Amino acid sequence: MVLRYWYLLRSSWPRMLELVYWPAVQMFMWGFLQLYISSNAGFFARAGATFIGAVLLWDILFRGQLGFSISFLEEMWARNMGNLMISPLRPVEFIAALMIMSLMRLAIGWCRCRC
Amino acid sequence: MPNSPPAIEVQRLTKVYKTTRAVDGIDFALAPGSITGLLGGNGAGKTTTIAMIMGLVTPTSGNVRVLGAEMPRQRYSVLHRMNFESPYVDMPMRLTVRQNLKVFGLIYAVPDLNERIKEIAAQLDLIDLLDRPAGKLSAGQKTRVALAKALINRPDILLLDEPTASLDPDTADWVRGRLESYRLEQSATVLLASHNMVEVERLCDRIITMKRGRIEDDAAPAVLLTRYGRHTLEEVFLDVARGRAHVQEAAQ
Repeated sequence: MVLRYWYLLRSSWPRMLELVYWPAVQMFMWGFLQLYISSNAGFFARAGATFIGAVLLWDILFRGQLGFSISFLEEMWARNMGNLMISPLRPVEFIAALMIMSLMRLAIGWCRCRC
Repeated sequence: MPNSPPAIEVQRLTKVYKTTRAVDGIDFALAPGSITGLLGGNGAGKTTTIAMIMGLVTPTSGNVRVLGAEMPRQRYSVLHRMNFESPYVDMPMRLTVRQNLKVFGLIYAVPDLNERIKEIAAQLDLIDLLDRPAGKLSAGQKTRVALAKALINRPDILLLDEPTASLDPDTADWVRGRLESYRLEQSATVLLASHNMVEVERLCDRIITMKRGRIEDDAAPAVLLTRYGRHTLEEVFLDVARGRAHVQEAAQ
């Protein structure tokens, strides 16, 4: 199943672009703000930096959840659920594949941003 | 094969959706290696019956056994020996035919998968289409790919829901020929739900006709023609659908 989603990702540049675009926007927006705030040593500045870190973490969790949901929805959109449900694929294997794919999408997005 | 257990066995099978009895206490058993047609009008209960046999839908009452396993409770012990084709499901359109067959071959744990893909592509005339995305195929080509996916694991049980729907006569005839060959090579048990009487008459050893969730008749095509005093199965189908009695019952 991971192979299935990997083939899909490779075949579609909008899907690849989407993995990188929003994390990049978030990094630029909050990253520059955090740089500015960190130049201040005050208590409120440090508190603000903490909140910004929380926002970035929230974005990571949100992207992870999105990766999970969208991979599942790809099956609905492709009308492929029937084929999967009649196959020997067990629900726990399907869920594991969705989670692995979610982590892979997250890793691709954030690694490309870092680069 | 005499005295071998049925490949598919259905006993007092019922499915009720709120107040609607989609399937109402049906019984039948399919011998291994047989091809059985499941006929009936829209809403007769054919698709629900097939869904219960596949273990997708839990019966309200009654039981289903496939290759000795109770469905859906023991479905994972037999799903690798079953497969299914329907025009109501698709394969991922962005993946190529080869990629789709590879994914399903891996799910079904098909040994020597690359060789098997080449073999089945040759049998179903898909060699030139292997690297084309599934979404860029014509209806007839998609049907052949769906059939390739249904046969990739050499299933002992093949469930087909309208396998030649919306196909031109040439492609439809070709698909029927492939199904006949497969049944002979593999001694597979095939259950075929169809509205196409030509197809049913050609392929099926036995026909089960359903109406409003119940079995109206269950016999070989020639027996049905005699019983209803008709020349074609289409006329028999209309008799069943419109509630006209057998010729013999009417004579009595």
